[in-house]
Amino acid sequence: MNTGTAGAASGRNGGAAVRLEAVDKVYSTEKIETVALSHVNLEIASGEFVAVMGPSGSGKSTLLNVLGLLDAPTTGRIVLDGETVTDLGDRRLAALRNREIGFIFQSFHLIADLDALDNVQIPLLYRPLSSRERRERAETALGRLGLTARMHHYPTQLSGGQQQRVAIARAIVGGPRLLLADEPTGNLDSKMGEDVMRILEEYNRDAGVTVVMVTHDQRLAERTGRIVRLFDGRQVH
Amino acid sequence: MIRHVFKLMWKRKRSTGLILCEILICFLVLCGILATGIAFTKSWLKPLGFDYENVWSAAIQGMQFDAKGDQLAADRRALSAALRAVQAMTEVEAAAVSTNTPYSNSSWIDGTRIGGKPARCLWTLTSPDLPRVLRMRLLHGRWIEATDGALSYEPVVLSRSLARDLFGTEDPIGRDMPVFNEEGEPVDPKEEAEIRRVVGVMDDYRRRGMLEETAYTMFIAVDFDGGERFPQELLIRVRPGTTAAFEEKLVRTLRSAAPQWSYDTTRIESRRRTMQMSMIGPLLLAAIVAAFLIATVGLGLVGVLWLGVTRRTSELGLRRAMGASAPSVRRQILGELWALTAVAVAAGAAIFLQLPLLGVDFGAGWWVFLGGATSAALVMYAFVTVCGLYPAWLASRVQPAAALQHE
Ligand SMILES: Nc1ncnc2c1ncn2[C@@H]1O[C@H](COP(=O)(O)OP(=O)(O)O)[C@@H](O)[C@H]1O
Ligand SMILES: [Mg+2]
Repeated sequence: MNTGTAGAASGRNGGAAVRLEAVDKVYSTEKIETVALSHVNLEIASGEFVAVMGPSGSGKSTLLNVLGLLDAPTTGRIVLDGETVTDLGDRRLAALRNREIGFIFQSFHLIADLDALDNVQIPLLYRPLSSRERRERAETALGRLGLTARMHHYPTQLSGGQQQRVAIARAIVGGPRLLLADEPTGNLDSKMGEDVMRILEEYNRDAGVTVVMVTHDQRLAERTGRIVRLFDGRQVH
Repeated sequence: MIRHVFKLMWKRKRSTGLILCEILICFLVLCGILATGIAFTKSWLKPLGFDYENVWSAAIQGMQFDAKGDQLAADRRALSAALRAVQAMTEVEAAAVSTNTPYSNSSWIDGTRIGGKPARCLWTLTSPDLPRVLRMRLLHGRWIEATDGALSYEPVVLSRSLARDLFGTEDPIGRDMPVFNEEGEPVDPKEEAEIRRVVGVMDDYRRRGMLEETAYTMFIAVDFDGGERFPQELLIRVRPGTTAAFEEKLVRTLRSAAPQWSYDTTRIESRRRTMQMSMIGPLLLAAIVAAFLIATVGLGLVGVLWLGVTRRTSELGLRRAMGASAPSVRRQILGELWALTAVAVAAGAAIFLQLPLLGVDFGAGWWVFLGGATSAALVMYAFVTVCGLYPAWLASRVQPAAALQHE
């Protein structure tokens, strides 16, 4: 596997292609069963920028989690770059998440007790790198997002937009080929949202990284290559 | 990763402080217990310097300690007669009178100074057959003899440790025992009324085994002709195979030789057992208290770690999402605990090792403290690892997706 020594800034070999085949996701608790995804077939090509839209509770986050190998589908198959990953073991899945996939969340999910630089280094902790290398890569990623002056700030000392940019730096620091963003602008005002959108677009265009973004914002969605709509866990066309 | 772990610990010092204190206290208790254990073991492994099997004690009841005049003369004669009568018994291999007998609670102690510091030394007044009774080994020179009373000086025999610490590498034979005035300054022994001169060196006599606090003994001959103080106890070695009926016969023999006294007879072996039992009680109690404390700390530790894991669900899920495998999350939780233990152990060792530096070493060497601290650190590591296993397992079960919905 290419280790992507070019670091944060560039994706490798363009983006990943990912395919969901007849994916169902059912959450069962003692009393209720929730069908979060129902028979989803979705093919995303390498280097595509896809927006996912749909009302609240329609399964958008679930779709992203399944795509990102955070959650296994109840039935169906996931094919990442031609490899069926549905039945892989925990270690292998963790390694794929670590190397191939970057996540951006609506509420940033930064660790409050770590400064920006340490937060960005988290994905690199699970790679065989020297601490100096980790640090340098994280600095590069933060630099690319215009946060060099904020490296030693803790999340509470940063604005929402800055926090989301730290989170983006963390998502791209390992050079992923698939970037998954779950309402990345949902907690930001339109100006900051626009910044984040531009960064994603740039990253998709310059590094050829595949981006899947959940959004409620029709105008942002229209700037992507394709919109996938969900309703009650089903794809609507 | 280690730096990462320490950074997190530092930022969370409020919650880690509690765990740190628990580990620290536990570590200190363990240090104490294990250092004591090491000191006892070390003492246990050291030769006693005598053999207590087949030895009886007959303690004299009713003998005046500070008798004078006619009474003193009568006591001298009676004690000597009693000793001779016992020595004449067919079952008896050897017999002696002595102070500081094995596993006895009473001690005759003399204060002296060694290397400028006050030291205690067993002042063992005895008769010539003591080495045969207790099978003690003479290392140099000679043992005390019945005719020693006729000499112009008082011959003394020293235990090896005492001879070494008083005279160093020089030959102690023929040297005079140092004398000190009340201020502790050395005085020329020649100016004293009676000079004590070293005539022999014996193996160390650890008469109470593990409980003997000094290896310093000075043996001095009882003077049956002109002495003023006498031991009130006889030690008797019987031939192997001597039956229990001997005890009654011994008392009868003593009664007929010196009827003014009564006698309390025991086997040294049983005295030894009694003394060991009396020690085991408090030791057991201390061990139970310590075990209880450690168990409490262990439960507390599991609880705090468990709580920590549930509080950190989203952080752990995030790490999983970013590529941490379940084993690496488990390692992180244990690693944090180990790092914390390292801090607590370092602080605890720094405290504990002050004791010997301040001179509070209870007669054990500083290496006993070091050994105690080292073994306590090892035990502590094993202990926290066991405590951390379940919380670490819980942490590794945190699902990457579920954690992120925790908001
Ligand atoms: N861990 C879970 N356990 C049970 N139900 C869940 C879980 N996660 C999501 N759901 C349910 O699945 C459905 C889809 O949720 P989600 O994918 O979060 O929707 P969206 O992101 O589109 O708002 C919802 O009905 C939600 O309540
Ligand atoms: Mg959602």
